[in-house]
Parts: sequence; structure tokens; C-alpha cells
Amino acid sequence: MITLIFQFAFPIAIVFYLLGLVFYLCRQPKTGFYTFLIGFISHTLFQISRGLSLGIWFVNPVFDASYFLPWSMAAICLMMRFFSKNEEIRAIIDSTIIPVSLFSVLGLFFPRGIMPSGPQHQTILVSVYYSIDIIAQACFILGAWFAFFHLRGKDQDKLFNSLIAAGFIFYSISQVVGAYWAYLGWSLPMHWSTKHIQSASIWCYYAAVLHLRYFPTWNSRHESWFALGGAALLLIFNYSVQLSAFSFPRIGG
Amino acid sequence: MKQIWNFCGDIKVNFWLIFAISLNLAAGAYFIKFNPSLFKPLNHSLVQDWFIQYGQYHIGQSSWVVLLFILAFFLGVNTFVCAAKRIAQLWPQRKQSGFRVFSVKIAPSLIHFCFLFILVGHFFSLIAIYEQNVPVRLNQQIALPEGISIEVVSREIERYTAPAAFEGALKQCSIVLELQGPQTSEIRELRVLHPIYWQGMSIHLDIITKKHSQENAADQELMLIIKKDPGVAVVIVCFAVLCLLMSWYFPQRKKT
Repeated sequence: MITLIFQFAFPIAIVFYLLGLVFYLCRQPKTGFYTFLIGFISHTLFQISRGLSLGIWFVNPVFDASYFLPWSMAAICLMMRFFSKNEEIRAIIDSTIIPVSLFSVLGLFFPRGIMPSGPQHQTILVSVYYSIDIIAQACFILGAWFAFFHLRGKDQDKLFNSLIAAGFIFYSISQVVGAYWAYLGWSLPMHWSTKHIQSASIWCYYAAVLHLRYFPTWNSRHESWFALGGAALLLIFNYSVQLSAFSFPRIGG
Repeated sequence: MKQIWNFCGDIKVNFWLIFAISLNLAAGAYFIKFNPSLFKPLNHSLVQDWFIQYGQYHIGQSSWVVLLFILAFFLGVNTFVCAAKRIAQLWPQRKQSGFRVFSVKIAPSLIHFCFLFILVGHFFSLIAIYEQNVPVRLNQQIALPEGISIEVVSREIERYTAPAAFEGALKQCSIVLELQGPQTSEIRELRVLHPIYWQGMSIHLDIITKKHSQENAADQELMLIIKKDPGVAVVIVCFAVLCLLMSWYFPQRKKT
């Protein structure tokens, strides 16, 4: 059963996400939303099955960025939709089916197998670090999505700012957890490695973005452009790292 | 003087400095990606030693490290002046505004001071560590300064037995050490991710694995890292406090 879910739940989720996208584009947002919800449930089952696919519960594979990033984005959108009363905001939230579908489809092209956890990964800090880091990235990407709508004259509540602030908090927490893990495992809170320096770069970038509001001559449109730039930087870094994942030995495809 | 002080505490300067650091780090990440052998020694040596030994001969690839130090120094000065100016401005108003509003107002300055401590901690971690990396050999005596020494008494390697797919892969490693101080001696177990803290030092167990060969035992070597790092505790504690302050401040800012 678990193997079946592991093999098929993700492609099924993508089918529903894409169907939801079609409904959204055909201006049937309500049907699109419910289809999206079914896709999300299937995606959730897939995430859980990743932890169980080897017959023993391993939590680390659940938070593989290729699948957990679109899942986090979908989860944040659903939560926002649940709490939002504003129709205009709900319309923007409905449109997030586009990035969620896009990132899920990208996940299809990455290896789905699971890597054995070495001694340096035998700690809960690994899961905490990756999960929070990816939730932060989801906030940044959704922040950029909302910033795009702000530039088009929508999202007047500047929800993109809140998403970026939330993303920055999560990202900072993930950095401190990661630093502690790296210290315990390798004696260094920060390595001079591509991954660590890229993380520091993203942290500084968003720290700079959060300071933009104090510029008297700059307005929220400037902030929106910077939010879009941050997401671009994040995606370039993210996918340049993930492409190297093709060469790792994995179990299960 | 006042003009210099105002320039140093300008929020615009602050923004452009952080932005420049971000871009510098982004460029640096790609220098590291394409010159890993140049930057790998930087993880286990003092930055000034690394620069004398490697950096100065590859100035094109290492200049971003020098620039990072310069920018970080100016950012440190700017952050200090900004936070100090704001505190000086807010402190006389603390009684009128009430505790809650005052706490919300002062929180960003405290966050900035935490950041400043993180910068200082990183700086000391880079310029003032003591580190010795020794491959683990049974019964080997490792002599350290101040008349102390470490001896590897035994070692154990645990491999996965289940699930079948992981069978034989490395799961955990541990070694037993005899720690001999000037007066005392003790036996302690050291495992990966569980460092020993002793005589102001931390002792870590690392595994050096040839890339992508986790199943092959012959390619793995245990390494003992003996370290005195004056900045690490400051960095981690201040970063944790910074996260707590931000988690509290941002929702409060929306309310006020």
C-alpha cells in the first residue's frame, strides 16, 4: 500500500493540480479550488509515504525540497484562503495554483528515491532545519507572487510584505538550527561552501528588503520589485543545487 | 563629526551595505563552486593564514573575501550607530509611551545589537580559533598545548542492518578517548554529533567520505577535530535571541 502511494500519489496530485489550473484559467475558481484541495490531499499522502517507504519511519525524506516546497506553498495558500475574508485577496490566493502546479511539475523531473542518512544526519535538527528552511522559501516565492499582483494594482493590503516578513523569520530560525547542527557535526556553524554562502546571501538580501520600508522616497512598488528579485535569486540558487542531486545514489528511483 | 555620525547611521547606507554584502556573497558562492580546492582549507584555518597561504596567489578568486570583511566592518559600524541613535531617541520617552509600546519600539534596536554580536562572534571565529585535525588511530597519543593530551582507546562503527535497502551503510561512529589534563585524567565516549567539551575546548568526531561512496567502508576515515572557538557560542546564542525577538516583534508591529 505504502509503495503504491509512494509511486502514484505524487503524479495523481499533479494531475489534480493541473486540472485545478485548467478550471482556474476557465474562470471557475470554486471548482478549481476543490480540485486543488484533492491534489493537496494526494500530495500530503505522498509526503507521508516518503517517510514510510522503506518499511521504517524515516522523517528526513519527507522534507526533500523538490516535493516539500510545492507542498508548503499549497499548505500556506490553503491556510491563507481559510482565514481571508477579503474577496480580492481570495482571488489572488486562487491564482497561486499556477506556481504550485509549476513547482510540482518540476518535482517530477527530480529523482524520487531516498538517500541513506549518514551519521551526521542522525538528528532531529536535520528535519527541523530543512522543513523550516523550505517553509521560508515557500513564503518568499508566494511573497513574490503577491508582489507581482501588487505591481498590477491588486493586493492593496500589501500582503506580500507580511509573507516576506514571515519568510524572513522562518529563514532566520532555519539558519540558527542549521548553524547549531553544523557546529555539532562538523565543528563549524558556517562552512565556506556554496550552500552556506548562498543561504547567507539570501538572508542578507531579505534583510535589505525589510529595510526598504524606511526609505521615505521609495514606495511599495520598489519593494515589490525587490521581492521579485529575491525569489529569482532564491530559485537560481535552489535549482542549481538541486541539479547536482541527480548524481547522488538513491534508493527507490 | 556630526555629519560623519549621521552618515554612519543613515538607513540608506545600511540598505546598500546589506544589499552589497548579499551580492558579494552570491558572487562568492559561485567562486567557491568552481574553485572548491581553494576555499576548502578556509574551513579549518585562520582566515589570515589562509590568505597568506592561498588567497594572495589567487587574488581574482579570493578578492570577494577581502571585500566581504570590508563591507561587514562598515555594516557593523552602521548598525551600531543606527541602533545607538534610535535607543538614545527612544529612551527618554519610555515612561510616556508605556511598557508595551516602548518594547515594540525598542525591539528593532535590540535585534540590531544581536546582529552586531553575531558579526563580532563570526569575526573572532575566523581570526582567533585554535584547531587541530587528527585522523583517528587506535592508541595514538595527541599532544595539545598546556600539557594536556588525548589518547584514542577504542572505536566502534555501526552500520544499518534494516531496512534492507540501507544494509551496510554507515549509521553511527563512536570512539572512546582518554583525556589527560595537567592533574586529572578521564575516559569519555565521543560520537558524531555529540562533541565533548573539555578544558575550554570542544572535541568533534567527523567522517571524511570520498564523494558518493557511502557503502564502501574503505573510503571512510574518522577525523578528530579539537577546537577552541571564542565566537561560536556568541553567534549561536545571539542568533537564537534575534530569532525570538523577530518572532515577537513582527506580529506586534502589525498590531501597533
